[in-house]
Amino acid sequence: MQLIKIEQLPLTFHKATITETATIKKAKKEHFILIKKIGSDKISTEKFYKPISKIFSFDED
Amino acid sequence: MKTNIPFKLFANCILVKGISRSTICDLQRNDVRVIPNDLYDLLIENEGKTIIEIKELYENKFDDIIEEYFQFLYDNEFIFFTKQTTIFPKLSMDWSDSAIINNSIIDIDENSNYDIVNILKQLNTLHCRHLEIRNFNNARVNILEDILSFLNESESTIQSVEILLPFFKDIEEWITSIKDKFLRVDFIRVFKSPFNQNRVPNKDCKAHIMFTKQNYISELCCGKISQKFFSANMKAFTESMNYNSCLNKKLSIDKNGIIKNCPSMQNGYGSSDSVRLEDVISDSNFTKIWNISKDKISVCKDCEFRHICTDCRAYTENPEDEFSKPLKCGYNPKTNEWSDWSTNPLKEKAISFYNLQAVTEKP
Repeated sequence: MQLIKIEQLPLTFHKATITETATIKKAKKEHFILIKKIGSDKISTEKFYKPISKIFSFDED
Repeated sequence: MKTNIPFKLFANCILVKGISRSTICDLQRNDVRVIPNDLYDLLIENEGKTIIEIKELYENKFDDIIEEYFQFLYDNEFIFFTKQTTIFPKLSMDWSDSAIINNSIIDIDENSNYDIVNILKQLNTLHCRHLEIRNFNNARVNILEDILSFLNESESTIQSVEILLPFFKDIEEWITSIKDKFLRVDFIRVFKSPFNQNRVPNKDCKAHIMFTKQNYISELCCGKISQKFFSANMKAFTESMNYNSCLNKKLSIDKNGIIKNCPSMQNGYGSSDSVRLEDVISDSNFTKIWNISKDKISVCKDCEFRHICTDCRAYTENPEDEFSKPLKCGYNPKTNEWSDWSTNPLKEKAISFYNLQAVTEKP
């Protein structure tokens, strides 16, 4: 039994923080929808799974 | 929600503990949620128990909070309920890639005068699949077209090409002329444009095209750490757990034709016109940096975002420490606050060391 934890809980237990979720989620979903292959009869390309360089961010400006 | 059946986290939902809070990273949906460290501990210690059992462990003093937590997890499909908990193993966090080099950056500017086709031939033998060409100063569309033509004609292993180039008068016509001809091009970023615009891929153009008024003068502009660069997918996450999230299996050529891990790095491994890329890769000095994972980097190792974030070893807070925090990161995992890295007085010395004053100036 985790009796020690009961004493700790009132000090630190608090509600799930989800305030930043919207920002992260928006960037992610818009960005990674591009991972889907975009059809072409001639060549099949796939986007890299992460940014190659970090100069120009996805939704800068 | 079934309170009398044991819960399991979906295998693709990975918990990452930071110093002040944690995250659940859904690597299938590219979704990241911030959670308290207490919920992290509760999940780690009690997976496979029922909610009723967990409430009893806390002597039913926190039933409403525990219920709210699990409702949050269930509503967002981070957990499921099953009596057969043992038949759902954890996912392997190993990372591998058959390519010797899987991504590459080639920089050019108005003075660049090295043999790019020679580099492309060698990248092909290294099975490189993704290339970014960064054209600083004046646009050199002839060189860009030569590169793209060579990739087409040689049936290169390179699957995708991203291009960064400055705005010029006839850029719209140029983009129109290449978009159907060079299908490897999947991202064109145009800087120093008179307007900002984001054109997502569509049936007429498979490439993503972005215009920005920002000016990117050189490789000094690279290395930014931002939520906008987060990647919550299986490949990126597991790579970050095992290797450096920027430099692993990367090979770059700077604007002078020097072979480097990244064009912004100080260390060069010789001119690409005289040194074979294969020889550089067999140099342990070149590849040892691939092993600097986020768990080894100061401050990053305490950050809840560490395995979805990018890294930068070219510009660090302490240039003499190879495990120092990226200079261009403004996040403090202790306070969970983002601030402008370029105005942080504690970073002034490093900014000066790298001569980054020009890129930190506000327009």
